[in-house]
Amino acid sequence: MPLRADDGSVNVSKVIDRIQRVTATSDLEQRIQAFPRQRTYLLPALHEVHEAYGWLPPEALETVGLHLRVPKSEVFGIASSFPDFLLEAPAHTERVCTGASCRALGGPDHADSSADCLFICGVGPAAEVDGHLVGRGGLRGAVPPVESSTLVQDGSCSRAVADTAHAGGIHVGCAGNCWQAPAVSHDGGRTWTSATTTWSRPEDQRLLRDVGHVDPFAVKPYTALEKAFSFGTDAVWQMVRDSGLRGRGGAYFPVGAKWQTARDTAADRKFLLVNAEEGEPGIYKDRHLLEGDPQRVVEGILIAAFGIGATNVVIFVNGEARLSHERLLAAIEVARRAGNVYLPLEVRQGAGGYVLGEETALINAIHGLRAEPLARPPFPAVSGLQSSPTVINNVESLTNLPDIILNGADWFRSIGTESTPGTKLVSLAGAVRHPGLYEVPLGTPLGSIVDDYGGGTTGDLGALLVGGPSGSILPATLLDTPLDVQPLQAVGGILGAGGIVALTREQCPVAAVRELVAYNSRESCGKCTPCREGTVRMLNLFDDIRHARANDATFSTLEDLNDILAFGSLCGLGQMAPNPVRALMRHFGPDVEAHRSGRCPAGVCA
Amino acid sequence: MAVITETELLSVSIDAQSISVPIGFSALDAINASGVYIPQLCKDPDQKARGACRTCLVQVEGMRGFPASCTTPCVDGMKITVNGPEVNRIRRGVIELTMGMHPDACQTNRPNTHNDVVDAARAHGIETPRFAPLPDPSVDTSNPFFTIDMQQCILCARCVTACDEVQHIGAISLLGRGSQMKVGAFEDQPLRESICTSCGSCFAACPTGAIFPKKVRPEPVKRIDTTCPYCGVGCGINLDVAANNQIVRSDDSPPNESSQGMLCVKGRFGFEFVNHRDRLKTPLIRRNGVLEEASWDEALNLVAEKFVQYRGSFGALASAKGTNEDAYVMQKFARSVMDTNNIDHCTRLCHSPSVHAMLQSLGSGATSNSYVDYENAGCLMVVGSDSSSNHPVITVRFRRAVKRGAVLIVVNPKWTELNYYADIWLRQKPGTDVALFNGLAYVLLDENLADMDFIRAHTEGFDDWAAAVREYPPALVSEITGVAEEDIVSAARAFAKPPFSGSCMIWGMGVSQHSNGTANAHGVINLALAAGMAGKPGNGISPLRGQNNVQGCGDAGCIPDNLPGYQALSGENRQRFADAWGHMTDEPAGLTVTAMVEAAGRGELKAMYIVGENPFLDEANLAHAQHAMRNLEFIVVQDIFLQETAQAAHVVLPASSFAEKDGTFTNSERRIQRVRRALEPVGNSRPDWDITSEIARRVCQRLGMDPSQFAYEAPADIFNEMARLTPIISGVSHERLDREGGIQWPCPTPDHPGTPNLYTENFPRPSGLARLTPVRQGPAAMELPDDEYPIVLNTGRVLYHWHGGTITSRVDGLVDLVPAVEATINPDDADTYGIRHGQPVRVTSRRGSILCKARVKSEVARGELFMPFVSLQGAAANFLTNNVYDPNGMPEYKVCAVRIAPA
Repeated sequence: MPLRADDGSVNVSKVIDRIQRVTATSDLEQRIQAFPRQRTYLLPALHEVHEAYGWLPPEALETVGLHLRVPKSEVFGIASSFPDFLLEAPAHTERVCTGASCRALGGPDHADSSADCLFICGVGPAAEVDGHLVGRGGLRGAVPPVESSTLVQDGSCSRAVADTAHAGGIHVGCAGNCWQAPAVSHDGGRTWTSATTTWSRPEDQRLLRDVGHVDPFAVKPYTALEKAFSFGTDAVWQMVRDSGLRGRGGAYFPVGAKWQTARDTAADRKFLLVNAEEGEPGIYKDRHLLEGDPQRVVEGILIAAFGIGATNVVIFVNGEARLSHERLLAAIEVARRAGNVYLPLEVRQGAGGYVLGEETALINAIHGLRAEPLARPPFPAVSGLQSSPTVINNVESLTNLPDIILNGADWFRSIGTESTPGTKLVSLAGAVRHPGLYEVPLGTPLGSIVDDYGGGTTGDLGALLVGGPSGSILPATLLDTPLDVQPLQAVGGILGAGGIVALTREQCPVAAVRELVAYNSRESCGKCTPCREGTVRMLNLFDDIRHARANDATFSTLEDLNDILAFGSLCGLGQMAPNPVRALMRHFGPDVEAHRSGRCPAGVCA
Repeated sequence: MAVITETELLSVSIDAQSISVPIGFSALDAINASGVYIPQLCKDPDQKARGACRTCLVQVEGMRGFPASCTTPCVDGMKITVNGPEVNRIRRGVIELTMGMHPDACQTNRPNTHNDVVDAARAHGIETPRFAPLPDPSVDTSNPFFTIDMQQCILCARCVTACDEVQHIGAISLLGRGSQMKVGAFEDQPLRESICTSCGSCFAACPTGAIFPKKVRPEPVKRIDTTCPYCGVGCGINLDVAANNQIVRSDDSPPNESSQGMLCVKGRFGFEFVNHRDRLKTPLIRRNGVLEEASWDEALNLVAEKFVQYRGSFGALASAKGTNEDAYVMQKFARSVMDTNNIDHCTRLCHSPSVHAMLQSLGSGATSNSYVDYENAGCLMVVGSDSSSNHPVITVRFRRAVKRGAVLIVVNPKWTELNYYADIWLRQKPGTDVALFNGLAYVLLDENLADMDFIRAHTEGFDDWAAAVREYPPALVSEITGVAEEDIVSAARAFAKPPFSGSCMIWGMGVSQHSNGTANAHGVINLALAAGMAGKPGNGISPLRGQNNVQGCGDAGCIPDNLPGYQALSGENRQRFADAWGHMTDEPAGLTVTAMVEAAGRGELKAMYIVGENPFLDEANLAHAQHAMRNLEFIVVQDIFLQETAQAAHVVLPASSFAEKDGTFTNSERRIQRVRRALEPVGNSRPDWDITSEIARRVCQRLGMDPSQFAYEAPADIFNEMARLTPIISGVSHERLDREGGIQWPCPTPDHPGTPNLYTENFPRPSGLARLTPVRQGPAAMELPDDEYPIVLNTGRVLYHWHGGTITSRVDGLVDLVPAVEATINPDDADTYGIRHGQPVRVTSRRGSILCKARVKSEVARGELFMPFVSLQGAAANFLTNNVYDPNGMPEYKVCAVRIAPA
């Protein structure tokens, strides 16, 4: 069956059928044997097994180890270090999200089998039942009536609350209006309606322009890529440097400078490693781009590879972002057939782990090792994948590139701030009316994001969690803080990947930070002592505070631990683990003091 | 070691003290060099920095925060602060967190271990623990030598690195993550059920005593650098000795070039035998049929008198476990005093066909290359060798090669641990090796893969050889050997054209212990020559030597047909030795071990002097051998234990073990290494060279010969005499070995560096060329299965026992791991004969019958049975084996016909 019909349109379901894994176990052994006998195929091979069985049986681990020549103890050890892999046969799996946003939406604090985030925050409270996402606590809705020209919102969020996968109309990604799901648009994506609501998408979108607007699989010309080729690699690099684009994964390192290091390092092979791991709770921006406009992502990747002078591309996708993975593969296939994929490009899947946000841990995972960070130098841009220069860029960063090439650096700088130009995708969740994904100019005040984009809060705003588990908790008094690197740092926060969770006064800030500490402790890879041991001790101290067992020593030890983690840890995960704790002490002193005397102002803590 | 010039040094300051360090030093290296103390819990001196424990944090001027010094490279002018108030506060906090991992907060050292956390805490003035311990109840006591106690573990991962990156075993790994992380085996099962080989590298690497020895011994007072007495790999060991003359432990020796800090279970834990209560402590003389204690004088006089009496019908067996010096004195005594070439040793029973074939074809009977070549090769062909059990540390080199991308071809009828790593397994039917190797050579010729330049320049006999090879097309070979044609072809291609570097041909007893042994060896050597795989780094020809000094014992002349250094028994040499020794026998070549046994049976040989050998256990068809030897009128056994042969002896002389004497061993890569005295001789035992010299002097006196020929004061004198008479080692002396470490022969002059690779220019044959020797497949074996005895018995060894087991059965932990002789049988055959795993079975051949334990595994093919030849609980496979011989006297240990039944 041809993938492309006579009229040039691509038969998407065929593409996906072709790509989707055969889940039968019958030829599993042959599929494992098909991998080259190199350790770097460990994660892909484990995924084959996990897909086939739904867990990792010991015999299959032995087969994998034998073939890839990795000792089976290590295969087991590495598998056991990735939270998404099951090492025992599951009878029935159910994971309930206990992330900050879902809790804010009425989800439980604890569950026998919990998830830190299921990344459908816009339709929380969320759960996963036998591998299928379920939103709104199980409440499912019907897709509004559609005609053949109707756009149907069809992303992870909408599928979790309705059968959008099998609706008629034209399927597009979610335009960021997750809260509306399932929604449809009769005007080409400008306004969206659900059974009870109507929403108009904001003007002047850049990254999200085609998301929820254009069929992600319609063949589109890669004009930016063609233009980049005509400029030449040096000019592309210069444009990116001049644009002032900074890495959107959370560190905001200038993209052009990172490229330069790799460009200046002589090597036969150079890698572009695309970080689509996106494992931070409450962040679903890369998922939106991959689900809604994967072709722009692929075009950005191809432009970057050209600007870097890369010889190989590896795209590392979060293992639970199945729809992203599926649509990315389809988009690559489309691009390949159009002759746009000019260099080897490989897609790998993760298996969980916040630490994968750390570049060296990500590289280790691809090498088939434990996802543990390494000391620098060497920096990955000098020696990364296969000991070759490796530029690691986030999906959102790369998705900016086509527009920069088409419109120029000045155009890019026309929005945002002087030090951080452009827009930022903000994953807005928690107690807001319209939780979803919004593209906002950098420098926009936090309050404007909550009110103008999020439609205001559902109760009295108590606090904002900004920047995820390595971020901060900020009081309502700081709503005029601009969304930018420097101003957030000034109030003890970080911009991070752009996650904002709103909490009402009904929610206790101490308890909220306690959950972030617990998350950091769970997600510690365990390699370095300060992070592995220190986060456990921190958590114990928080429980003392919450349960009125704290004394002076509790707080002085907590202070010490903040320093030991910040200065003693090997990687950013441990170094930044004290951030929310420090922000809590700084901005919520009275709440903390009240707990010390046995009183929780929100009435949450015992 | 490279000379470091002024310009290659960096100047750094440590707490205001300035020092110069070489480029490449980490800040931690510099701090250690300066003498300033800093904790370094996860940094093993022999492993690369992991940067995990965060206790070596420092402050570096111009750098943000407190970097770990282990992962911070030195740069010129770097200013490092180890002891500053801020950095000490953070480091102290990290140490406190580490202490919280232990139930006793690291307040004490476990016996025989050291806890680095205790030192770190003391140095930082931490007395009371700040954090209550977090209990982790996981304790693994399944290994007989050591316990892994996770309560004492600080997750530094040194043990995992030692297992994975030093020994390349990969039995243990870090499991889970975060605070749930632990050290454990596959599926978190007990260590004993894992692939752990008990090598103890984890134990040696542990900085806290979380992995601690099960047997507590007195604390050591000294450490002696010596050489392991087990297999032919020749690993360096450091013996720690207590004040009471007991070995406390054996530690690895990273500077040793042969072992590079690796050890196996026997080298690390196999030393209880030295201080075992069964050690012979006094001479014994048989009186009225009973061995009774006697004085040295009595015993030596009796031996001297009898040897004088039996001069002319005397044979001697030297020991491949003794030193070169022991061996040299032994053969000198036989040849110059006893006037006979009837001197041999256990090489006869392991590699005599290989040595013979190599001498004929290559001109030297030794391994042509070095262990490092295995690592650098692009292809390894390992034939008839369970090297993982028998040469564990060499096998690490194989695994390193595989990790680098080398192709591993295993040729063996039986599955061995090496098969885990193999790309191609040629599972030939037992005894069909000649056909197989001719078939491989056929592919070389057929596909123009042979190295014709090498063949033309360096070999002779091509046409005759090629004619023989042409008789073995792969289709026919496949029929004879049972190996698939495509496997033959792909193995030949990989060996002839490895992906990089060269190919190494490596083999063990599976080639030699056949009635076709010599032909097999020729087949193997021919293939290596045809592919041009000799004389260059990364290629070579290597029979793996079994005993610690089987190479040296032959080098020293304990073989019936050569003088020391493989010098022919020609007129000229004979005269040279006669001049040096005062007398040298005119006899032609003497009897081999196996011929001596047969001659004893016929009454032609009447007296034997047996040193460190146990023919009552080692010979094929033991009942026959024992019967023949009981015919001897006088047997002297010199040993450390009263083993089976000693029990039948007329005089038993107590020898000192390797740990109680000085000398040298020569390993499988021709490296001569020092053996150093660590203990006082146990009881009244004496070193072998001393006893033999004493006997020789007493015999000389009785015969009117010059006893001063045996007036050695120390082993160094013996070595010097041997070096003078033996060109291949003329440049070596104890003094030089002490100064430089081991040296590989040939080493003709004191300024010669030794020879890692033989045949780099030519072959030491008269023509300077190697010879391609045509061989053709004969009957697979002398005894093949039939209706009455339907199964082929193959014998070999196991990791946890050493040869006949005289030594290893006196190490508790090893006996614990393998307490009984096990017969491995294929599951299908087990069904056929009604045999269940672990059940007792009776195995019977035409020559004997033994009771042992069944081990049902598909490691062996249908119709085949495998047994190690170790003697445990009275069972020994050699009661079953067949005393038929290869032309070089090698018994057919590898094939005989048996039947099996539940017992």
